[in-house]
Amino acid sequence: MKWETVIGLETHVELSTKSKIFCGCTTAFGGEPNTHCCPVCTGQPGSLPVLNRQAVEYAVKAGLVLNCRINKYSRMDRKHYVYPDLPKAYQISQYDRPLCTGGYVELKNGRRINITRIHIEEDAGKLIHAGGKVLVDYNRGGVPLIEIVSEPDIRSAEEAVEYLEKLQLTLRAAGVSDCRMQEGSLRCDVNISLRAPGASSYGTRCEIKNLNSFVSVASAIEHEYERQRDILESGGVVEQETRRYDAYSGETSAMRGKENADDYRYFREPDIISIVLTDEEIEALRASLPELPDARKRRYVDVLGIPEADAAMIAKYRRVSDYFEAASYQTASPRIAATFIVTSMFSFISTEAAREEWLPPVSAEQLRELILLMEAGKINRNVAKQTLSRMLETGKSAAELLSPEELEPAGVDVDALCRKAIAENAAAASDYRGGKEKALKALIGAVMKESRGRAPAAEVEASLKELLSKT
Amino acid sequence: MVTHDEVRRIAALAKLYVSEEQLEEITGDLNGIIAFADAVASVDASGYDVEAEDGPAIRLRPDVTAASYEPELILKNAMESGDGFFVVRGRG
Repeated sequence: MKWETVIGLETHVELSTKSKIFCGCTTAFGGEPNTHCCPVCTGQPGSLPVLNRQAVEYAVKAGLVLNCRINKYSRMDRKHYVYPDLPKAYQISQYDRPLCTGGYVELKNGRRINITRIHIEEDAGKLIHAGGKVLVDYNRGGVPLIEIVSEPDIRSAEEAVEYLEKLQLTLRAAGVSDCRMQEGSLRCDVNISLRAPGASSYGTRCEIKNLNSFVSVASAIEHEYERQRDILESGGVVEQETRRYDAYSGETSAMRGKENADDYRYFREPDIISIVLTDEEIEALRASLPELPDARKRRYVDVLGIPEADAAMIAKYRRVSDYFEAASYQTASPRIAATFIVTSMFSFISTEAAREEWLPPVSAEQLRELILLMEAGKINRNVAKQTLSRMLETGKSAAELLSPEELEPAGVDVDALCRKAIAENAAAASDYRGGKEKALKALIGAVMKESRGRAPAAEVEASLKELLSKT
Repeated sequence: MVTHDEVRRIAALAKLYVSEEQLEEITGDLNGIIAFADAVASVDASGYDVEAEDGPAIRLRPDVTAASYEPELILKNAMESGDGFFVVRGRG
């Protein structure tokens, strides 16, 4: 029997503030241990937290781009658990009055994954287990996080990954987080259960903690599906428990069961009064949001006529799409800039991380100049493409790289070049006349070679056909 | 009313050891606190909209970094430290 997988995700995203959520220590990643710390973020007695405005604003923006309702009234609570990563033995979080509720992410297949809530909280410190001891570094402690809780609407590992990618894309575009999974600024817990197809109630779920790559999310879900399926098909009962995922074996193992279920003894944080937002503040944040990737992609396709696949590749990276817009500004066909970016430039800048950073040796203005030369008929597409490759290698502009004769289209006499090619390639010419259409390619090639790629290909083809039909 | 068992459970969650002698005293104290909270909760607050709290508005901090403390100061009160880390016992 094929069981239906029911998945809900809790995603933690570090916000891109400069300072921590309750103190002025830096949020910079890494650093020597315990050097980004003060009495507040190490929970020293008598210290008092003061909420960072930017953290609240970023969280509201995240809520807005994920289609949530922003609650004008929300408050902070203490979530208690004793573990060395929390110096106060409680985490300041939000319980029953989160900042954002409702919301959704839409998948490619049109399905909506609903979002229950988004709340703000502080990150915990980092633990290093070494020889029976635990080394604790609180640099990360107090970095602002949002936790995005989805409804159990996800039905497969693929959907889970697509949902996370969409979150990553959207939150990056909104400028609220860099969402780098390898640095832990986006990580998630997966809740998963199985049920018979068509069943209306849910099965018993397990929670898999702290997955920090798309690959491990997919593999943990697949492993957990098999494990729960085997239990159910052998007549057993899935125990409600929290499990950990081992990236090396690709398997999950039990951490704690239901009898040790979380009991966080939430109560209101007495050191921070309620967060009250006005409609004006929320609307000002809404107005400050940039155009999101989905909207950009749609505009590229509908208004600029960019092919869907190219538009998606460009809109995926905020900096690439800004670059594309600058490079195609007032050019006759934005498709040219789009093609150059997704072909030549993407093969030169090939990793996800580098595309995200997008620091190409060719500025958008330089690419635009090249395209304008091409559109003015000074160079043809081939020369433009070759020049772009040289620009990428050397960092020089088209004007510096192109010789005067390359910039002189008058130097190309298509008719003469075609006559010469036919005369010098008699065999190919007669093959073509004899019906071998492919032979024309050799003649076009000869012309291009002779003109050093400057002859316009379409014109050459037409001219050759005409000459060959005459004789 | 909290029972001895509930107090033991809360103590376990907080990783606190409570002896049998202390149990009686702490249970009494906690019940006193709960009675106080019940007294507060018994006040008729209907008609009071918590969301329209008329108190002072929250003062939010601008997102500006400030110098952190020297790690020596941060670690000063640690039971054990080494190489800049707090050091705690691993789970048995």
